[in-house]
Amino acid sequence: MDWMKEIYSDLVVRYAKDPSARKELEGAISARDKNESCGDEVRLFLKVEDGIVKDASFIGEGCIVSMASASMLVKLIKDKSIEDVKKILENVEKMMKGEEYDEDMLGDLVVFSGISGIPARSKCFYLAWSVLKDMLQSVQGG
Amino acid sequence: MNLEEDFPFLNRGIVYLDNAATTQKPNQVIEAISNFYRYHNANIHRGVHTLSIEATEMYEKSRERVASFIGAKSKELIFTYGTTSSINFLSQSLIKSEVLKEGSVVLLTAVEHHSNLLPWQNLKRYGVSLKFVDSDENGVLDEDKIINSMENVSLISLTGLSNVTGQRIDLEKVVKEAKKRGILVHIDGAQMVPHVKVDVSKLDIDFLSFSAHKMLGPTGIGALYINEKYLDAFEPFLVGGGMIDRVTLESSTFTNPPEKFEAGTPNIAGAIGFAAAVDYLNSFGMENVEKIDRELTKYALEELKKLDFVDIYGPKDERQVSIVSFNVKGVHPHDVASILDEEYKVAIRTGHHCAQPLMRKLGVSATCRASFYLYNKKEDIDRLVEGLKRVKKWIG
Repeated sequence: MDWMKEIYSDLVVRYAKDPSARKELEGAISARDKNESCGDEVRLFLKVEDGIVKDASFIGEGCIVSMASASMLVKLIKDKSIEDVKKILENVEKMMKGEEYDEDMLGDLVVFSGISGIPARSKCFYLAWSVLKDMLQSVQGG
Repeated sequence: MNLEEDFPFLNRGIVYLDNAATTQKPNQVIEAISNFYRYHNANIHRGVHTLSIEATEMYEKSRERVASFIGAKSKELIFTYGTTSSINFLSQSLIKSEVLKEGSVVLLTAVEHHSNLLPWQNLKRYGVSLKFVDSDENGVLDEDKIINSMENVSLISLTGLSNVTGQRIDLEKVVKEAKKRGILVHIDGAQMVPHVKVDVSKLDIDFLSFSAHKMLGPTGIGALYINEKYLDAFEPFLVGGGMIDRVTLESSTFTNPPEKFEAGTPNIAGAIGFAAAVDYLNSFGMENVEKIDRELTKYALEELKKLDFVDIYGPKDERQVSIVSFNVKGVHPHDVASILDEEYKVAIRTGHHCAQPLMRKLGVSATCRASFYLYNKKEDIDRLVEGLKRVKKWIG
């Protein structure tokens, strides 16, 4: 199974262990989600000004996949417009479903391109993104 | 007995350390089930044709063998779908039979599997209240604490061997004190019955639940032992075909136990497989099973204790049988299990093990769990330890 090598590649492990995205952001909006079956948990912080994600971060606990995915998310959406973030999210969802997607939009996250073939781990992968999706709806609603 | 021949999976090179979830099945069990379907298949009871008579006899003989495995009489052994259904059936029957009613107190512990917790939570709507004996921060239960919590209790429902910590509870001590106080005792034997010899006639408990699939048998069948003194008074859990005496449009009377408790066509092939599993364990010798499980557990504890990057839960001494729960510091259990599986072909279980309250007590969201059975060897544990070192190096 080659996906194992990708999932536990140095790149992924480095992202999962990278402390720079892991902090609480004061004055930011935040939301969390939890995967009850394995206990993975992610709280995402977003600072949105004039339709731009000025800053983002997360705190959480979980497996390498869920943590690396959250860490990459933070890097990907910083300084992007809400519209662009939505496009990124759409492509992430496409990748997860095994559909065609725009690789250029996803940066290092394409290391998880095989995630659609691993249902057991796609929940871990998507955890932070599901939080983002909820937050985008509330950003839009507000 | 030749384990390699009896358990063909052993030739796949997989180190299977997930026996607390379910065990592998020997050829003898698989053959017994397929032999029934091939040559003897028919529905049981009331049939006058040859196949039906054979099937009925095979089913009832299976009951006898499973009952005698735990020192029970045939009629005290009710076939269910597994431990979870046994405990659901029992708890509902205790309410219907008014053994438990408004104001009754059921004593449980904080380490119980969800299947020995939720069925009792269900009784709160009838005014039954629950009381819990807490464990220490390692998940270890103190029998004296259980005994000291017995005041005003109607029933104790207790695991005989924890599915997370592997702690074997000193049941003799607890049951003796419960009986002195006239308290009913149900034991969740899902993990205990497969690993240590249980004799209900000596243990003096009232009810015992266990599953076939954790002791070499098939899934979808288990048993509920009900001491014979309650059999007539207890209301059936399910009603319908196969358990009646006389039925009119308005009312019915029931047949005798144990059939009274087995409405519907039962899992006939499952019962036959269950009995074949029990036969296998008898020829292997339960004393040998326990010896192997204890040796492996002791060895695993010794070896894991040498790894300073591993946290172990539970008693960590001779009270622990067949199960070791642990975590690699700084590494999520899912990652540990994925790497062990992929790189070392070692199968362990991770997660909350259907014991979320205990996970909270241990201060973790999940643990890794290695669990052993008669076909495991010390080399399996060596491979596990080697794998854990690799995990630590890779992502620790």
